[in-house]
Amino acid sequence: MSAVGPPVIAAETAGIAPRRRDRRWPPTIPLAIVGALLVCAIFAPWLAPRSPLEGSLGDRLIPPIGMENARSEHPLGTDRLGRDTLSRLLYGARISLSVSVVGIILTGTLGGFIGLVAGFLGGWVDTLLMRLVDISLSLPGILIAVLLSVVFEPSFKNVIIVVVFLLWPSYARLVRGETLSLKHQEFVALARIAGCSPLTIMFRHIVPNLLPSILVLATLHVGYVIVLEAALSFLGVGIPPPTPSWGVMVADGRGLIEQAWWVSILPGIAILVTVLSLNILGDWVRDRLDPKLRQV
Amino acid sequence: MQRYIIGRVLQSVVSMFVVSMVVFALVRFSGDPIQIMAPPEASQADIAAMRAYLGLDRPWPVQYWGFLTHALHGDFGQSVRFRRPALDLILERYGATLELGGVAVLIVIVVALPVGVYSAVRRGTGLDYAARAFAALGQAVPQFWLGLLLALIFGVLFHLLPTSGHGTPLHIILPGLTLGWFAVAGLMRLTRSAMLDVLGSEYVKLARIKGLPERQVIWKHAFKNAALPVVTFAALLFVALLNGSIIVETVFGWPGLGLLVIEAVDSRDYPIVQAVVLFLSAMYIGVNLLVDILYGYLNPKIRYSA
Amino acid sequence: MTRSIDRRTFLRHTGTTAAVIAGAPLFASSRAAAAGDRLVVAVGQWGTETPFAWRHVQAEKPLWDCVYDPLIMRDPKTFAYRPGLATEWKPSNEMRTWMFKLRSGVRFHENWGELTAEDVKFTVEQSFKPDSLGGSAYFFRNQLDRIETPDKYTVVMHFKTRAWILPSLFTQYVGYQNVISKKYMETVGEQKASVHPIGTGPFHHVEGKQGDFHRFEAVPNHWRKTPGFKELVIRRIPEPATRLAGLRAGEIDIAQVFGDFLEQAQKASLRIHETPNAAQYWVILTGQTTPDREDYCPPCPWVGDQKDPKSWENGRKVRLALNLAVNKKAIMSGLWKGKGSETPYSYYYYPFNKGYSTDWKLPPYDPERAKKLLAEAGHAGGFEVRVNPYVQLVAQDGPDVMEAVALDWEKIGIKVKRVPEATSSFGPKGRLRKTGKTFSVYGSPPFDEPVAGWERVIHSKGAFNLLLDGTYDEEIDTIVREFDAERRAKLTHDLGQKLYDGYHGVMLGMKTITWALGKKVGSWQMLAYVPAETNYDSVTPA
Repeated sequence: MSAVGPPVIAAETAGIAPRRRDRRWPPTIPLAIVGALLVCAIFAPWLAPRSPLEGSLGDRLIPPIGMENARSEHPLGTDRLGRDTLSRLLYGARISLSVSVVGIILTGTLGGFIGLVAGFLGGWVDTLLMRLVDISLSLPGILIAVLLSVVFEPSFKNVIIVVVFLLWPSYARLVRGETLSLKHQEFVALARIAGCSPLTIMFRHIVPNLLPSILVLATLHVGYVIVLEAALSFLGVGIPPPTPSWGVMVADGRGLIEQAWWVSILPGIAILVTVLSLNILGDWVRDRLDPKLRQV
Repeated sequence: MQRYIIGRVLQSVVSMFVVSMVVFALVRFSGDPIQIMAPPEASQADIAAMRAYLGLDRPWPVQYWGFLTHALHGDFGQSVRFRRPALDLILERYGATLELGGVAVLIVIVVALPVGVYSAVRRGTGLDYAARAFAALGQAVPQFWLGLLLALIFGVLFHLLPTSGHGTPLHIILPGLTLGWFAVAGLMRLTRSAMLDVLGSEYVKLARIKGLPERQVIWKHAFKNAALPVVTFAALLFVALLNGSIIVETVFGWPGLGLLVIEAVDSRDYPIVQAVVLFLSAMYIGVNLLVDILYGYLNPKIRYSA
Repeated sequence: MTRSIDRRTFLRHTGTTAAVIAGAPLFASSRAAAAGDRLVVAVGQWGTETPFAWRHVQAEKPLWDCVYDPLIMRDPKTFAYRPGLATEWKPSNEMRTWMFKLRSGVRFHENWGELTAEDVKFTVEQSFKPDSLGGSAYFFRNQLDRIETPDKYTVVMHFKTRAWILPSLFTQYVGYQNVISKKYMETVGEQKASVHPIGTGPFHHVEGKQGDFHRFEAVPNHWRKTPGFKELVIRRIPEPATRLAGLRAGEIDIAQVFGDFLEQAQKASLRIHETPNAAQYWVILTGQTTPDREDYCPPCPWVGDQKDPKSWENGRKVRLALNLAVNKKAIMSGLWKGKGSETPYSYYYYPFNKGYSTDWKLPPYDPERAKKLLAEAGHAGGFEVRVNPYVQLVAQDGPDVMEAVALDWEKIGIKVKRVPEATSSFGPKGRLRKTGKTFSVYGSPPFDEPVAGWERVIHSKGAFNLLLDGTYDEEIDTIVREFDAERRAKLTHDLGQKLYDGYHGVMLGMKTITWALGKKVGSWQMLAYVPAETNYDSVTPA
């Protein structure tokens, strides 16, 4: 739903001075959590005690250590098919984060470029592109995701396509608004006088100034995409099983909340903590880099 | 202004055309309803005959033209699966989705506005963080999971609310809450930052210097000025919630458009998918148009791109 | 539907929404009734939801069978035929002509008159409509010559060919011919009749909303069975976890539960109702077919080349290995919670079918021997197979079972590529033989005779290939041509033996279908071997 935003308003009032002093350093705990997750994601093959895909029915639903019938070889228990929860969580971090990161890099590039062109060129190009944004936003996102996955078969690639489709309008709108206000600033006018070509102005002078706001939006979207992927898994159009993503795991264990809570609650907590940490970091980055930015 | 409005209306009409083309093509790429419905005994000849019977063997442009001209007369074709006009099915269903979206947006406003204002005023305090964390929670938990959890707690454990279905005001609470919580964070953030901007402005300082009570400063002077983006956001949010109700409807067996259309996709029921998407898109584009025009009236300084 | 009604409905709904937004919900509940007399059933999936025989698929039976009476009923315990609307039925002219005598005095709901031969004729003839896709429409379209109604209670059907399978098409569960009122259909039209069906069954339809719920009331003094509950509500709840929550909260009285949901229902002290051995499970090993099909694959390790005896035998060895590698007991206890059996069977051969042999045992779990067989067949290093973990109508737990099988196969060195696709995509691809030789788990419902199933899934002219096709065409043709029941049973047994020995699919066992019952429900006499609920009339209050 963060794809929804009111029309971008070029901020006119300057931010309030004290906000800049709010926090000079990033909040440590969320930063540590995100750092740890990155480590897990990158080093999953070395950290995971066993394969995330192997299991047998004889070992199904073993509880985590500390509960009755727990086994030391499965510290966080097993799922419905006897696969090790800890290993799946670690690999899940890898899958979930890579869906987010890959998806958002692509989205940010594409949406940002469209917004840049629209804002910089203005006129009919702008009108055309902004109506495209409207059209994209007006289509019911989840439904289009399901349709796309029917057309292309569920796969990692398909989830990425869905992410790009759902999120590009946010970036296009944001970047367009920023570009509009940057375009009229003095340094751009000076560059023009100095004889810089429009392309040079766009990429040399405007793009670097856009990056902070894109970064803020991207930080907030990482969490959104992880949750979105879970929703797609619930509808059967997410990352195809047996590949573990946190979304797949939560969806898989949704009927077991009382009987075997660890199957879905643990990945659920992983998602929760990640999203909250990323939101706090996003807030911080925003306050730090650009207090004027508010439409994210 | 008039020229701007006419221009925007025309653009919206063109947008609807594009939407109709996109959805028309997308459903056709997704597969053949006859192949799904026909029993295994059906030969390819039988299937071809059925396809011809439903007019699906004609070239796409011809089909599209037929669809468009009929749709303009309010005829969205017969549902392949139910053998009834798609419009009838939508009219049967959209009420439930509007109810759900309405309740959800109400919950969002009731929670997000006061919390957003409060956390702007008390910025940096523990309560500010707590409120923001609570709001963020709705976005950090997959909706289907939250829904099932709520049904377990309030339906099974405490027997307070029905776990699924539609009918009484009680039935709407859990789905409404599940749908709404997700959106609380967005509106809250917006309220908070709009309030922060206004609170730092000259006239709020002036009001304070005049010695007005703080409550009056916040609600009468500051909030009133922060309300515009908040109200427009809420309007768009309502439409977005309609679009996003598919998962909640599936979890709670809520008989709205979301459940109708997701099953229509499964049976490749072209007329229903087309009609529902057009309906939802029209809502969004319409509200968006109104918001743009409203902004034009209220704040002529805003840069228009039209 | 006129425009003014559209607008009015629209305004009403807009008004409702406005009221909701204003914080004053003003819903009218039309479903309020004495809760004790009402039976609420939750069903996950409904198919096309039209109540007409010629559009029916099997998924509709839990919804509409209560509104109608079949011509031929079944014995709830043995699955054998019993008189229904028809009191007798007789073939003549080498089974080319069939005569049905109808029960007199059976009346349609809402005073649509007595059921007569004309109604039966009308119902069957709907199959001739070009857009009739469901039920047995194809059979009648291709085989039926004409129907005569010599008197009010006699129907005579003439067929172009011998039709010994005919009675089966009019039976409870297997058949599709729910008799509708000709007068009603002609008066109100098909569209209206589809949302408010009129039949002769123990419940009559009161109201409903497609895709949401249907409400029925009991017919007092019904000829067949007067239902124990005055009111029946069948609700559509797609999410199984929500169905279970509804059962536990007491909102729902009957719903199918399986796997872990079954265990949770038991823990929540809901009573469990069983239909033992209602679904045969196997894994379809795609690729065993005739050369004219796109997925014909002699080089596939599990198929082999029929012209080369060595390769053909190796194919059998690989299939046996695929059978031996799977731990059936673990599936039975882990996924089916012990609700199933290793009942000997051989693809569509049910224990109640004639000629069935108790020697057909499930192949044991023996991964070592499986590996040895693979090596003997020249595939010591394994090979790659594609599987689709999907939900099939009878095998609701298909994805879990498929994944369990895949994990077991991986243990003997086979590489398993999962290609998950919904039924709606996979089914049509299967029909066109374009799945890329993808395996899947299949749960089959019973037929009156195995050969009725084999004709569809094994014969190369059959409808679809579930097991293999082409190899046993001659045997099947011989069985179908044989009209002496005893000799047919013998021939059927022989082919059953061949199928068993060929290990053409991976046999997993027979699953018991389970329902959880709420406190309101006393007893429920289910139809044996039927994996769906078709007789709410026999549910009694506690």
